[in-house]
Formats: sequence, structure tokens, C-alpha cells
Amino acid sequence: MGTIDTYGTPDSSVYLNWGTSDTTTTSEYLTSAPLDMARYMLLTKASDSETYTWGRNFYKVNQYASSSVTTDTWRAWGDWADSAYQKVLVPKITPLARMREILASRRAPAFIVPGKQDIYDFGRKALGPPKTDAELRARQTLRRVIGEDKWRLFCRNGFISVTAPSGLVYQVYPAHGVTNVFDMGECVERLCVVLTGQFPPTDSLIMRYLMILNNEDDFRSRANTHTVYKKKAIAPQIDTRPLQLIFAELRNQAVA
Amino acid sequence: MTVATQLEIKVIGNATHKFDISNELTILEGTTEPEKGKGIGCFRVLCGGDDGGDKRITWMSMVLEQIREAKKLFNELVREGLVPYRVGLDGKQTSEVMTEFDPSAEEVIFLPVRAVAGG
Repeated sequence: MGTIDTYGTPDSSVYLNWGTSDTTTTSEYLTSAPLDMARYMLLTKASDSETYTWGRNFYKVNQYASSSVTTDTWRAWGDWADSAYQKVLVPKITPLARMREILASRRAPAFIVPGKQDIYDFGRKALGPPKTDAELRARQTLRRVIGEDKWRLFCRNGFISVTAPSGLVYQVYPAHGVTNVFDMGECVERLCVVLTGQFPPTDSLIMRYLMILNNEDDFRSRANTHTVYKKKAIAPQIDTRPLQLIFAELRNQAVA
Repeated sequence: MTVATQLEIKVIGNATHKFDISNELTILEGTTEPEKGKGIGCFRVLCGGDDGGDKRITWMSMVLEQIREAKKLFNELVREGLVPYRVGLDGKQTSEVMTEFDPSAEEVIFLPVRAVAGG
């Protein structure tokens, strides 16, 4: 583990090299990650007793099924990035900030977002405000196409569900989100189809929506298939105790 | 609303194509939306680019000259590889791929399918 700390400086990017054709995107993700997060991912990998060598084709961060090449092992990018993010980048919340959060969540009106509890996907995230005019235009288009009811669900959950002519249900996310395919309530596939070029995130969603409804076979033929991970479902932890009790507990924590 | 005579649209990647837009048609600027239920048809061309987003061109479905120009633009966009999807509004109906121009279509989304790839 000490070896990792000697590579790079706090300002340098962490770059990992690999040999498959589908790794460019992963490289961009990793090199753009904050150095601490990338280091944490490297630390996590080294702690699994897998040998690794800095600077050569050794560490394959990829979504494909596991295989071993010499001492290398395939891992799922999503799992590693998520754990690194939770450990490194999630800010520590002070008791006062936590109290404010609880008070805000109990005020109406609000989108109730249960948090990361879904088994198959990235988790439900309420839609944030559009960052550019292009994204605003794309959302306007989407809203006109899917209608108000589905639009509200999209704002709350961050995805739309599309039932294809084949009967499969596609859970479609904007931007580079992987599309989850459900058959009779069971996730059977995860497909990734993107619009190459500079498109706002919702345009990608519109593309997927239109293709699934009209050219499902074409959509599937273009898609890269990703592994379906069945994680344990975690129930949302919503604190419903009286505020006085919560306040007393937080105050004791602060004092301690 | 403003009218332009030429519209540069990225059809795939960095390749662009300049489409001549007749003065009969209207290009909506910014985030202006076409009015609903007033016989206004709208082409939404997903074209990406530096400012991203879609380009919106509208026409009146009761004006013959505008229909003619819209049809001309429709054929040109299809020739450049964009696939037209006719969509219903407010979730009323699902979309369908258009094989030919229909002046009664209220909303047509042009998708650059050549830019669609696995990720």
C-alpha cells in the first residue's frame, strides 16, 4: 500500500493503462477523478491481495465479466467508483447541518427521494436544474413527448420507463447512464448506448426512448452489454423519531 | 422568433451540413417553444455541437407554401442520414418512424442515428 503513495503528486492525474478496445471511456473517467478518489480505488484493489504493477497493462477497470491475465483481475467499475466516492468525497455532515437536513425533509412540498436503495441501477436521484440552455431545450422536448405524468416521475426518479413492443421494460437514464432491461420485474440486461458528440444529457434519453419504441432490435444491436449485478437491497433509513430526541442525540454527539 | 436562411447542423461527430432554410419557415431561438394546438408543426433536429441541444424549425400546417418548404427540408434531412420520428404530444401516442412527410404531424424529432453507438 505504501507504494501507491509514492506515485504522482497531489496535483497529478492517476493514469491506468490497459489493452482492450473499450477502455478509453474508463480512462477518461479515472483520469478525471479526483486524485484521492482514484488513489482510494487503487488502495482498495491492492488490499485484495492482488499484485499490481504501476504503469503497465495490469489493472483492468471494466464492466465485462471477470477473467484473469497473469496477475490481473477484472473488476466492475461501478462498484469501485461508488465505494471510493463514499469514502473519500462524501462530505462529513455536522450535527447542525444534519438537523437542518431533517427539518428540510419534513417540510412540504418536496420530492421524497428514498436514496440508493434500488437493486440494479445507480439509484434514484431527483432531477436537478438544467445546466445549459441546450439541456433546457432537450427537457422541454422530452416533456412534450412523454406527457406531464411521466415527466413528474422523471423529475423525481431521474429515469423513465419504456415498454417496448417486445414486452421488455427499459429503464432509461439520461447522459451516459446504462439502460436496465426488465423482464417480468427481473433485471435481465444492462445496455449502454450513447450519442457520440456533444449532446445534452436529455437528448441521449430521447434517443434511447425513440429507438426502443421504434427500432428495438437496432437499439440492442448497437448496445454494449454490461453485467447485471444483484446487490442486496437496502431499505431507506428515514428517521421518523420526534425532533426533540434527534436534537438531543445530535447535541450529545457534538459535545462528545 | 427569427428567420435564418442557412442552418448549420452537425449530422454526425464533427461533420456538418448546411441546410437552406426558406424564409417561409421559422427557426425558434433559445428556449422558445412552438405554440400547441394552433396548427403549427415543428421539426426538432438533434444535432449536438458547441451549444448542443436541438434546432427547432416550425411551419404552419395550413399554409401551402410553408408545407412545401417543410417537405423539402424534411427530405433533405432524411437524405443526410437523420431519421424522422413522429411523436405525439403529452404522451397521447407513441412515436413512429416517418417514411414520408406528413403535414399534419405536429412534432417530428430528427435523430442522427449514425451518431448512436455502444458505450
